[in-house]
Amino acid sequence: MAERVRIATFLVALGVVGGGLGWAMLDLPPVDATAADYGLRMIDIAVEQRQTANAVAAVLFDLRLMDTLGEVFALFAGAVSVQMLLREMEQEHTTTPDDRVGDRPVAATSDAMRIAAARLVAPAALIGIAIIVRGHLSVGGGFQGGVLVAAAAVLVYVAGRYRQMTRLLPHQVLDAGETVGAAGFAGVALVGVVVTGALGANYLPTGALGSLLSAGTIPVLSVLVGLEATAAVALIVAEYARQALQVEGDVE
Amino acid sequence: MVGDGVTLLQSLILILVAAAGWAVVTTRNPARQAMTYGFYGLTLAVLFLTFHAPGVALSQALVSGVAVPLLLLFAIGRVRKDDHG
Repeated sequence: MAERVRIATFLVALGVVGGGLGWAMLDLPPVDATAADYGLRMIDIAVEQRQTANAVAAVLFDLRLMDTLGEVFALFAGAVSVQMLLREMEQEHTTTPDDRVGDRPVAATSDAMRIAAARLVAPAALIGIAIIVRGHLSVGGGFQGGVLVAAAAVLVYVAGRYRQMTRLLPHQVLDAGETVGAAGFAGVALVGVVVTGALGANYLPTGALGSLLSAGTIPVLSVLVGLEATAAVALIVAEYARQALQVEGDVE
Repeated sequence: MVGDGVTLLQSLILILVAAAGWAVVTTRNPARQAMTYGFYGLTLAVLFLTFHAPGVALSQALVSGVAVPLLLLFAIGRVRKDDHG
């Protein structure tokens, strides 16, 4: 009975969502259609006015900065919420980290995995930083690079060093990084009101297209987002890892 | 669809995405599912790349290749610990 209701609900939902999606797709432009006027104009502004080789970065950190401001604070709120929800409860206690499931120890990480992970820590961190710093020049930006830098720290754990991971990412430093990133982003955007009268205006000299110090406030904002994303993702992962490895007690 | 602006490579990757999506749905063990989900995300990243969207591809690869499986695995580990003791 209940299953029949479930299947009927599923079929109705499938009909509405799938049908609606199919209907909407009929109106899509073909795959090889030329970009819309809006897109072409964005690219012109990015390259000619902002000296930004990566037009996507110009959209994220300049032309549509308001959206990114919202994203930055959504990530900030997400990390804060995870920390708050996963705080140690009365019936829980923190133990020394162990790799056990109940009484059964988990199979040790293989040497191949440890070595591969340990060798990947530095490259992942460096590529992550490069993606953040070169956000205005090539593919990437603060968000993507930040996730990669945080992933480098997780590789330390995969290499078999949970304690080193937690030591590498002390909560105070991450909290500070997250706050500086988010507040700095809002601050840089707000200074635009003072300098030019417009929130999020690009008021720094734009320099020459393609050089590291160019595109005005865009690389500055990318680095601040990189700091924010690194800290937020690392905080969330560290909080999840602590729950899995250190916190014991019933989850009510 | 081939010939209508979609290249052969794009068509092949589209099929790969569909196959990987099927694999995610049919994987019953949640821990394994986290890994098949990661692979599915990477096929999507390749798809975005073939459609000339490298920025989106990079975000896709990092979020569903690294961040989501990682959180899922830690969450599954926590739940299993409670189940066993």
